[in-house]
Amino acid sequence: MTSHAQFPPASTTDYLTLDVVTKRYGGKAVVKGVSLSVARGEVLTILGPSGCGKTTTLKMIAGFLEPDDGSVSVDGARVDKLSSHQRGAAMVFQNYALFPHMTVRRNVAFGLRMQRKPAAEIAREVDAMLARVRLSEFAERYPRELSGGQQQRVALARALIIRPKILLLDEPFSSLDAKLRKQLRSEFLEIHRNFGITSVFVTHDLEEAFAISDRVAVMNTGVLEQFGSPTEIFSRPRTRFVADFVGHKNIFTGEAVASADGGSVLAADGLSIRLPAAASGEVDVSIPVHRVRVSRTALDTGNAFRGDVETVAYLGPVVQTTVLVGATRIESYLSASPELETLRSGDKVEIGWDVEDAVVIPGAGPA
Amino acid sequence: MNALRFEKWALGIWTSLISIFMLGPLAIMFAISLTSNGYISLPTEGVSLRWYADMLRQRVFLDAAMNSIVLALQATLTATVLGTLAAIAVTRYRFPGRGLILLLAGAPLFVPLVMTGLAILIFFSTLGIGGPAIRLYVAHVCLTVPYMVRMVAIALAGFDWNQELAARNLGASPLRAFVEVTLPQIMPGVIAGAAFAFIISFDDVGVSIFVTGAAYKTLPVELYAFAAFDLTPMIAALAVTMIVFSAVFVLLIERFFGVQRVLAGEAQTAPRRDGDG
Repeated sequence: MTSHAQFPPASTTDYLTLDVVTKRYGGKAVVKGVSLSVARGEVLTILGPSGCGKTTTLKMIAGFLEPDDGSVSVDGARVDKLSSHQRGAAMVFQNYALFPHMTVRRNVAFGLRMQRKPAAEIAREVDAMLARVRLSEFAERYPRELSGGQQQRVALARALIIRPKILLLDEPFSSLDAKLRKQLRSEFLEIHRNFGITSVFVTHDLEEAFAISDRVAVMNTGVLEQFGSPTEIFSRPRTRFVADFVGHKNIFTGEAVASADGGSVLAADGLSIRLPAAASGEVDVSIPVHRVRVSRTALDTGNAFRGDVETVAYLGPVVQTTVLVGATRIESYLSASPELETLRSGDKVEIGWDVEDAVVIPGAGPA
Repeated sequence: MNALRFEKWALGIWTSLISIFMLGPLAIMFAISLTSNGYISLPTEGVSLRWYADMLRQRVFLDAAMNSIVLALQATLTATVLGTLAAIAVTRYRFPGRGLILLLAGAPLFVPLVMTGLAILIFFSTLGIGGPAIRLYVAHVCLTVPYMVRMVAIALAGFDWNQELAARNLGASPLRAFVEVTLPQIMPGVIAGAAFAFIISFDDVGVSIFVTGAAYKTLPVELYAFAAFDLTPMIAALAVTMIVFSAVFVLLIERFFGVQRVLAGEAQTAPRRDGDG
């Protein structure tokens, strides 16, 4: 795979860089030529489904695994032969892995004790750290006596006190309920702002990735599918997988033919869809749900079709509609309006979108 | 009488019967040890400590008791190290031969002691190595390691090995990570296993009888031999002394380390959550 070539080379401002990193288990590559970078102080999220290689990638950044090929660099120096501690990578484990037989204070002090710092200095630094993460009053408690949010703060404090260069988090919010997830997410962001530490986060949760990250790397079956800002990932998915994974619903696959006006026309699912740019051959095109308009009257959009309302769901400020055009289902997600509120299943409607709103998915290349 | 009350009554009677069955022989032994008669009997003619005094005059028993204590300590210490390491290996790692090690470590629990003793005797005799002290030591280590492995493996059930990884990540050496993080959490299991090992070794006859020599006997073996030829109430005094010794030992361990919790399989660590691949 040459996914490296798809992305711009690492700029000089990049702090953590992965260069064509590969990991094999018993001859089978689980991470295939992944190249990534993140600038100092940014949050990078590696996003993907179970078994996509994201945790393996994180472990190679952490120094728990050595890459078979490629290199990992921090602050301009190669670190892939260094232990996790030597390379200054501090890990927050999925279940935090706090030491249950130690108080909060002793958990946080652990890294400094390993450095054989004088007791007075350790006490001073731990007190300062506990104050910074609002845990001072819990110093003498044991981890089991803390809430999930407090445990997370202990884990972060324990990792941050050794002044790591990078902070790594392995799905710290998974297996928590939605409300707690959001709370912990904002606590993490607060601590991240407070410390400004370069962080790498692994998750399978799209919303989480988009909410906390400066850059997102989408992985699938060991391959980096796309690397970019959350906006880029969502608005310009590079592959069909990314489009599906980030929630694109209206994806058409068909033959495109260039048209006289500089654009092209896609023939897919019995529809003729006008595209904004010249394209030819088989392409995937996505129409973002929030761009699809539905109306009882004729639409002046560049693409418009007659169809039957299949389902209508009122979700407060927005209305989610699915319309059948022939046998093709098209989904729309629009701000509520008096007209939309009167729609019923079976109604005849016009559905359409502007030519510019179609997103042509470049494809995975030689897939 | 309603059903519930009957149930309570029945349970009470049953428990009493079991208790009498278990403790009755000990009570009778205790009574016999206090007899003033010159033969095995209940103290009908009067209570006396003469058989305890007699016991303390028997040089051979005192020597054997010292042998037993030293042997039990040596075997326990060795089994503690070997058993703890084995338990960690089989709990933490998946490797070829893991099942075999588990089987071998557990085998002495299921093989009759006489068989084990005989096998060890044949092994040493064939090779012609070691005196009775060495042979007993090896035999008792074999006998006690399984208990150690069991107890530590129970203590390690559900242990989150990411804790050791976290310690390494924070700059601890592998040894430091084990000593500071893992060991304190499995300590009750280690203590319980060691207590078991000590008692098993101290009380053993079945294996020891095959590997002792005339010049080096353990207390239970000496007692067994003595009882076969020379039955006096001193046997009872000796038996009571051994029981009290074992009981006090277990109570002290329980008092200071709370072994009961480990035996009940109480998890020492936080609940585990499954990770992503």
